[in-house]
Amino acid sequence: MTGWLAFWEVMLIAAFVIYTAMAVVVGIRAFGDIKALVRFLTEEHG
Amino acid sequence: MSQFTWLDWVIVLVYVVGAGAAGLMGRRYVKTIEDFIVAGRGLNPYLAIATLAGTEMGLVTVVYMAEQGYKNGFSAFVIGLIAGLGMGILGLTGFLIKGFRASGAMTIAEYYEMRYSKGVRWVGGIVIATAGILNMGVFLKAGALFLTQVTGLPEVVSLGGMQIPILNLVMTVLLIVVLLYTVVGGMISVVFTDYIQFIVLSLGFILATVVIVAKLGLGTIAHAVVEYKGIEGLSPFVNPNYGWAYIIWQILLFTTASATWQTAAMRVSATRSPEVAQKVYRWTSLVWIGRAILPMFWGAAALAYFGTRMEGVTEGSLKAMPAMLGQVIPVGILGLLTAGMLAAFMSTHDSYLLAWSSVITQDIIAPLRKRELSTRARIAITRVLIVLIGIFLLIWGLWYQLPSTMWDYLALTGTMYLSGTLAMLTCGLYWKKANRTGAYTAIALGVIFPISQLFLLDKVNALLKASLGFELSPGLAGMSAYIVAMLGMIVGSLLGHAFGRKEGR
Repeated sequence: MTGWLAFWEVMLIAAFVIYTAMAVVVGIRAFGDIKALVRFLTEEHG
Repeated sequence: MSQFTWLDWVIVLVYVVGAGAAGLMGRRYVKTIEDFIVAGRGLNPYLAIATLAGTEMGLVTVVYMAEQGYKNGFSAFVIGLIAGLGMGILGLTGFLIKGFRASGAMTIAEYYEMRYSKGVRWVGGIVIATAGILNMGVFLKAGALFLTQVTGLPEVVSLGGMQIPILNLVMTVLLIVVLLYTVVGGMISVVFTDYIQFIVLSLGFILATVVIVAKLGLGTIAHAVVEYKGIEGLSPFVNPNYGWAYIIWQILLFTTASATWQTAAMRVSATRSPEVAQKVYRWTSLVWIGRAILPMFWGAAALAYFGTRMEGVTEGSLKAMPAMLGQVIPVGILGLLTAGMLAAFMSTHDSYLLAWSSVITQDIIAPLRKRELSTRARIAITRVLIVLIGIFLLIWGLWYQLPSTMWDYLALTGTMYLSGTLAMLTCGLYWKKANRTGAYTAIALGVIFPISQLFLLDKVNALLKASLGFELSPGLAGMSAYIVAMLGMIVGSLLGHAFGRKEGR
């Protein structure tokens, strides 16, 4: 039982840390992608 | 008693108006059906990750994952782990997604026509749209439950002798906002709003988790799981709600859904190339684990906060997590969290509405016409369908009673089409002998088990118990659907060849 508990606690902490880091990175870089998409759609269709 | 105040409502209102306005901006860029359905195939990786995560992290996701955490403790985390690993493997190997993106299809059923036949596309399209819309049928209910509990509002208020269902009204207004911008701007509007929604809901996710740990304590929550659930709260193999069959079903379900669930497939189609699609999957797999495990942890926290007494309340296991949030999270952060959850609600609804309406237009209505439908007509039909599906959701959400947990319902409705799709896409991409006889067999067999579990459970189980001495559990029904669909695909294709028919391509 102790092994399972320790395993899930590590999983939980890892999930939280990775999610937070990903949210920051994706949040910043996706903003640049939005500008690129607008440019792409404007240039494609005039 | 909920701590929701006027400040929280202001935060929520500012968000809803802002997201709606951003969505409406998308209209100016829509010129073709490709723009409307797959944003002109112009998505770069990070925006694709944000929009995929925004779509698949719905309010309904948070509610059903938390229900799993409340009912099964930490052993529910196995579902999150499977979800992340499933998507990660697709991202690393390119299995299914690379071939699908390279085919150039915009919907899964369109691929069926490219690989098998027009008839397979039509039949497949009907199954995909039916399963998808049924799947979406409980989203409004989940949203209404969350808002009732977190804000502390009554479900019904009396006004001049009339009983007004406040939360149904709120959900209807939200649905109208979503319908409005999805109808005018299609996928481009969805992408714009998904980005904002990803930011707001991620902020809500992170802050809520921090506050829960600070107020209740990780040790206290873990202790409560052990106290109330024992080893079943920790080991998914021992837990009677899970077990081996359930775990195998979840592996098949998440691997297939990550690649071929129509909303995910549309993101694959919207990327610039197969390589970008693969990159999106590699990175999104990391978000996927948190998407499941964090709300499950909130559910376990609700178990620590309320104990098992919510199990005696109607739909108590669904209500426990939002009720706990309403009482634990402080003013201001509660508003932000609710805005985040509404973001999740909106980002899922817009994409799903677009996905299923596109399938009906492209794969069911258009193939019936002898003459090619114009872009203008396709967009007009899709817009009408979006509104019709919205109306169906309101009716179904109020009427339908869940047979077991919300996740089991969602997973079974999803399996209705995913089981056939896994067989048809895998064999279509990697096996030359796959043909339309196999495809029809896979579609038919894949539908039988989930339907029997969802709508004929009592009759099927009585028959099974009398004749074979066992009952069909969700895990067994789900797992069997994938196995028989794959067998049907292989045997059907071999028979098709044996009878010498020139089929498929």
